[in-house]
Amino acid sequence: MNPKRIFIYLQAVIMAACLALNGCGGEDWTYQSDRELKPGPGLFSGEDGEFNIIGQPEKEENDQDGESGE
Amino acid sequence: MKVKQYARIAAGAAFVVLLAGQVQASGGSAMGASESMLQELKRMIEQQQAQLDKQAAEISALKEQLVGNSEVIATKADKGAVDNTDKMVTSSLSNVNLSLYGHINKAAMYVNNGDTSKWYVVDNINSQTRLGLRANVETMSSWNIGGRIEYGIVSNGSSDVNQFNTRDATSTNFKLRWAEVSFKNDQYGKLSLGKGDSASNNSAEVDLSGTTVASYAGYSDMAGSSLWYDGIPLSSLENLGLPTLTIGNVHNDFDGLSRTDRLRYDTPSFAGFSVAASANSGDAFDTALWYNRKFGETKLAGAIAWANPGDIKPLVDNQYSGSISAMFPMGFNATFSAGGQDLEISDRDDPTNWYAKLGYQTKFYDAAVTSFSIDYGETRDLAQENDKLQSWAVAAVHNLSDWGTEVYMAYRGHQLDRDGRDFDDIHVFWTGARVKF
Repeated sequence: MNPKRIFIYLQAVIMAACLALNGCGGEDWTYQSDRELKPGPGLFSGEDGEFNIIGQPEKEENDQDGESGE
Repeated sequence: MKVKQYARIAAGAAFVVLLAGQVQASGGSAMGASESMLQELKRMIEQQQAQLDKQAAEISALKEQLVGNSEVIATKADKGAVDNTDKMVTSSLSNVNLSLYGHINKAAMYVNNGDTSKWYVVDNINSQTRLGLRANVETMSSWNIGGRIEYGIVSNGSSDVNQFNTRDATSTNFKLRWAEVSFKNDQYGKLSLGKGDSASNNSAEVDLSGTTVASYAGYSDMAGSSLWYDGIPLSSLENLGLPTLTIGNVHNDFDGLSRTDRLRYDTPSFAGFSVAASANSGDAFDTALWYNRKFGETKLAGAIAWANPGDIKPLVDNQYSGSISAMFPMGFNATFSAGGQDLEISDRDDPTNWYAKLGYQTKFYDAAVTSFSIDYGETRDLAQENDKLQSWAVAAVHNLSDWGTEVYMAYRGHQLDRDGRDFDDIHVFWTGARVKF
């Protein structure tokens, strides 16, 4: 199948789904790829999940359990 | 004997009678003394009660103070809110943050290509071992200036090992992944300069299943250098200098331009939508529309992207990619990804890829989430026209989030159809652990 056609179909599906759902409201939520550094505690760093060298640790933006590529 | 006993009893009775008479005779004066004694005792008891009440109040106040002190000590211990003098690195600014982060991801991987079977100990390239530094400072006017440096630290990468390359397969153990500065403002968006994700990177790999560390759309990260076998001994091909074919040669999820040296801009999010665009080194340009939103218990994320790869992929005019993933209540989830390329060569079919995954997440006990998934994908016409790669997998990931640790396993099968060749299927299994520092 022509990649342009796949792209157009996918675009249409995603846009339609998102617009339809947006009509129902929804709330902000930040997706983070599960293959990156996961949010949450670290085995050695504890609750912050990072070793804080200077200052206070940054507050995590999302609630997903699970980050990108390679 | 009995007479003596009776005499003693009689004498005792007489004494008691006399004593009772004496008491009755002096009755009035004894009553008065008892009353004053009772009054005195009452006063003493009241005095002691008042003293006890006072001591109870003091103990209660001390208890409250102790609880307050314990909370302060616990908060300090938990948040590491120790005085700067306890740290080896300090800053004269109070609004600066600098953190060290990373994870280790190692697996044992088994590959059977119909000719040989081998076990490898690998670094899982689905989410490779890494170490990074992240810094940011809040400035006036709500601007946040940040910097990030991250290295992948890989030995024997799972996409590098194969039947001839079983140890020290990764030539570059330290690979720079991120080196960027960024300027972020809630109202104006984010501008990033340096090495990092291009705007389209990850657009084909949005996935909420929780099993991506074991299985995802970019499945050639798992044993991608493994060789296909069609009856000709691989050693003969190697000795004769004939071309060999790997899983990675025939699979690609067309996931954007990966990480590049770029200038990237991200808009702020509007109702879940945001747009990113980047100008990348190598005359490459890309843009992507990202979406993520939560509807009650249902989470939805997706992206679509276009890229002109320029000198990064000289034979490709345009590349398209997109994916969408939904996590429904009760843990059921679904993911779909597709992508393709417009090749400069016009007399052959353009390569395409699609991938679908169904998953389920549950808690067998409070401390961990376990995710399961099955997936299937096809890549066509990539290395050669009419090539058709089919791949399927089952995966499970047990996430002990309080311990920053996941253990996982997955099986993946590959089947390649090519004109004039008859390749055996390749079967891959791995199990491993990812530990966040």
